[in-house]
Amino acid sequence: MKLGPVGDRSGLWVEGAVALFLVLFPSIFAAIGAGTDLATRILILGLFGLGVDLIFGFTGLLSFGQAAFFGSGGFITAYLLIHNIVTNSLAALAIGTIAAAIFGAVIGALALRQVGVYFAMLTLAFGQLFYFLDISPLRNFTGSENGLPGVPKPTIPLGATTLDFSSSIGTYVFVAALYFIGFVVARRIVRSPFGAVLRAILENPQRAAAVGHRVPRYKLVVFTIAAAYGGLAGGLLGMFQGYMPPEAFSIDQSGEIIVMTVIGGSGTLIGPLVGAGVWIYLRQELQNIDAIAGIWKLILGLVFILLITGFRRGIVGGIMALARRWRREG
Amino acid sequence: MSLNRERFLKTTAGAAAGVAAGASGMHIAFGADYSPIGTFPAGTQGDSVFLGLMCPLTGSYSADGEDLRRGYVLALEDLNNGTGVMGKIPSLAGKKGLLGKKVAYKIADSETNPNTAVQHATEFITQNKAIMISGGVATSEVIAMGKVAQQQKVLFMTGASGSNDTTGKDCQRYMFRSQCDAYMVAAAITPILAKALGTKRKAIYLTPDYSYGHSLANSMKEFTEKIGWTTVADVVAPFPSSDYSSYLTNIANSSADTFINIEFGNDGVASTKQAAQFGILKKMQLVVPNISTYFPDGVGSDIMGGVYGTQEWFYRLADIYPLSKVFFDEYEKKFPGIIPRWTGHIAYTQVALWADAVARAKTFHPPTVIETLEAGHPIDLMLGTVHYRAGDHQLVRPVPVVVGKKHVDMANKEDWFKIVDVVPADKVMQPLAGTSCKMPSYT
Amino acid sequence: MIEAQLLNGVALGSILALVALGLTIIFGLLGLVNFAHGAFFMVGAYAGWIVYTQTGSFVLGVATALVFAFIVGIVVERVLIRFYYKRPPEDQILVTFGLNIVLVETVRAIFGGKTQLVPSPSWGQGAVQIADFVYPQYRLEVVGIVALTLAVMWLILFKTRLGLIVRAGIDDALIVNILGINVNRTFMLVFALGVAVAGLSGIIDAPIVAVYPDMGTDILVQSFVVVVIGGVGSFAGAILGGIVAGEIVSVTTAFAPDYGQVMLYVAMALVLILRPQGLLGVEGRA
Repeated sequence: MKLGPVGDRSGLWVEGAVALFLVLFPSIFAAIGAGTDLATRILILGLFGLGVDLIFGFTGLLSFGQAAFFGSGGFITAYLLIHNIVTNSLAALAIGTIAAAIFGAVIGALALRQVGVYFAMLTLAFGQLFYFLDISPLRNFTGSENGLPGVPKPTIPLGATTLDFSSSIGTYVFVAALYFIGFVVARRIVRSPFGAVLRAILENPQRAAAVGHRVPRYKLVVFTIAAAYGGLAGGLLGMFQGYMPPEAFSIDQSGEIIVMTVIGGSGTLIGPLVGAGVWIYLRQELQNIDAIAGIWKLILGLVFILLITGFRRGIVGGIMALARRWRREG
Repeated sequence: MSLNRERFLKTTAGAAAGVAAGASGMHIAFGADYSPIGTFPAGTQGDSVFLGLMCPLTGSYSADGEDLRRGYVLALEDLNNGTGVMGKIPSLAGKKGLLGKKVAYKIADSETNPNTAVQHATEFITQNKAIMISGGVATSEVIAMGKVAQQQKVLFMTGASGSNDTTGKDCQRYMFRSQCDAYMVAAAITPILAKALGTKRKAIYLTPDYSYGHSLANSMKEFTEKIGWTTVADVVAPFPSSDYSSYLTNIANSSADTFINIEFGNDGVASTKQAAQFGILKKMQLVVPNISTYFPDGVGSDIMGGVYGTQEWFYRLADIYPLSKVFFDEYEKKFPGIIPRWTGHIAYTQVALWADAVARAKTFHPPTVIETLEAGHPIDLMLGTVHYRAGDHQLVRPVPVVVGKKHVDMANKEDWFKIVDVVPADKVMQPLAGTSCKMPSYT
Repeated sequence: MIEAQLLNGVALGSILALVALGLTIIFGLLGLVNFAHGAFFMVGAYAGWIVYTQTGSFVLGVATALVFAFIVGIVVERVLIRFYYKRPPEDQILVTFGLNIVLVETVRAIFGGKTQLVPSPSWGQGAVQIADFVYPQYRLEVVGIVALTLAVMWLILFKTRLGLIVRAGIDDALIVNILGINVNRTFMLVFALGVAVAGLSGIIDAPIVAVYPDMGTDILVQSFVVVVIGGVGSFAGAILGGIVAGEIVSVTTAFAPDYGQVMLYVAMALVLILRPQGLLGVEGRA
């Protein structure tokens, strides 16, 4: 059986490399003149993207509605913390994540009745449904277009003392720890027998069904897991910036996370993080060039089209392909 | 004046006297020993200070963002050269830059998205050591950045934001808002409406279903009902919408004689065009309490003629206020062929108010600058004499009420309005007790 | 007043049907889902706006929008889309999504972000009295224009040689090729035809909505819903889906404004549960 592109040889070197990277990331960013908060934001999107990669990169399901989970997990976590219904950051995150997973299971059960473009359109429409629910009928909970300000920074009560993550680097550590757990879990999933079935579905759903896999169930489970990743990332977003914005539900958010995943390289797990980093860093830097300023998005759009057309594997996928060739030749 | 003297006394009398003075909020720092806070003094040690500016250059408010951007560019150029309106402000006159330093800046695209606005604001603060940030064209962006400013202890002069919340429940010690809020708009326009349309009108509202929409509609109802108008109905439409036919059907077939359209931005344009097609504007007087920046361009003078509303600023105020004339002329020189809109005015005003406070405080130290702003020292700007109010950080300012011109009366293609009145601040400000602002602390 | 709301549904639905038709032509015949459809809608509105403003003739504006969008369609197909027929649908979605960004930002770079003025045409300004309510004349005319366009499209696709080749080419491109017919050119024409319909919808809708670079986003999503409800790739489905969607939004908003948009998506979910291929779709397409 063909295994995925992520390190075929077992061992923990990938996890180790990611952990090392997470430790060094703020310093790397400082060296190129970017801040810790930007690194934290990239990790949050990278975490969100892990879920997108699981369904798209490993299972072939392109969802344009992931913002529904990013938003609902985020708003539930934010609401609980702001109103002191739950004071423990981790508990609030857990509830937001589980809620997003439940929404994922429900939407998945409906949307996964379809495949391909039909599925993409459906998820897009469900994403919009959540957006409109957030803005109008649920405005008393969500703050409508103004969102929810005042989300407290993460803390963990530890016996007599409380671990406080409110500083910039503290929030980074908190998010990085959760990203790392999220990454390890995602990697365990794709390397498990479950992951093997997902790849079988990616390559040929009919054959996967023919050999006896219950394809719909597998799809539903992975879709639910992806929703949970979205919910967790959304909860972190609110804590990180002290504010939960309605734009978390927007169609642009759904589109952006896909763009990031594809630029970084789908089916690689680390791709979304790299994609988010490149996209956000470029967005920041392009704007500093006077001649570009307002047309940075046009330029990134063109780059994206070129990437899809010519370099389908994205940055990480491209590097890995190069590395494999180099190994063969060397 | 009194503030300067107070500071002078404190400086000379030393720490003990300063503590004894004990005036509210005066416990932070005094004299030349300003304790480090936010990006101070890190951001002030070179020969320049840095401003981080956020303008939506993409997304649904990109035109407004572009206007905002031009306002900042002009303001900073004037500030660094001692020219234009900046050169006419007593504390800044005859000086280049601020406290002997050049004021550098960068402008980032906030994409009409609070996430992006926060991202850029944070980068400007942590990486560029921005001593002040400014910008945003939607209340959501502004509230989000206000939160960042309060956390990071960096001053934030808002861009465009008309919601009562900005200086109400979401007010921040480090955030100051110059645009008039919904309450002020309603307070300003209602007497004019009474005079022009009488006191026996039956009004129907089209309100976008979000907090700004409701606060403006409620303020309008409150004020117009006081002068004897009746409210036939408040038709609430979801936000955002592009088709208003269901709501307009109800409005067209109602008994109202006045149509008050609260919709804003592109929603305002779409709903008004559709109302015209429904024949509503023939049957009813249109009132648009807060006319968005590019609203007239979208609906055209055929619809604009005779429409009552307010403008945060309009270039024709140059006929009334000498500094508006200076601003307009300088802007024309810098950006030939482009007439500034009110978002550009906000940008310039906010930079000017901050620069004046810094110059008078003689320091960039944020709490001291805040105290200086809160002291309410009157300053002459493009809308005459204005000052900040300590309790909620709302600019105490007049509100221009306008009526749309018919095509034949327009002197040029952007001469959309006749200024009916500029309602003075004391007639429009919401009493402080009525706001829900609980001002957070300095630290 | 319910008659008025039903009429609103038809007027709203007819525009949706036209936009969805362009989408469904491209998808049904080329198997390509076009996420840039909203941008083509916007491009049509801008092209029409320029000529309408310069000449004062709305009809000329409409003609320009149609022709310009058709040309844009041909260029885009030749430069980009034709490389994607053999790629997985996910790639097609991504590339058209990217194309959407590029088109929107190009228009913003040229014309700025401000709302442009597209007034109702001189022959569509009044409101007419129907039974006990007044109704905008232009909206009634839109229903007529859409009906006419749909009729023409039906004739092209089902009564001409081009339509025959197209439909045959979809079923079996190889055989058609062997018969000496240039399928490549046919595909190009089909794509351009779908884009032209989107552009036409844009200028027809322009006097009703705000004209600005991002104007296509909402309509794109709504036309997806229409296609899903009506059945992917079905000509009649696009029309029925459009009317059904229009009626759902109009009637719901009349009673519960908060849920107007929400109900649209609920309806879509219901259709999927009860009839996954859409109201008029054929099982197995998609």
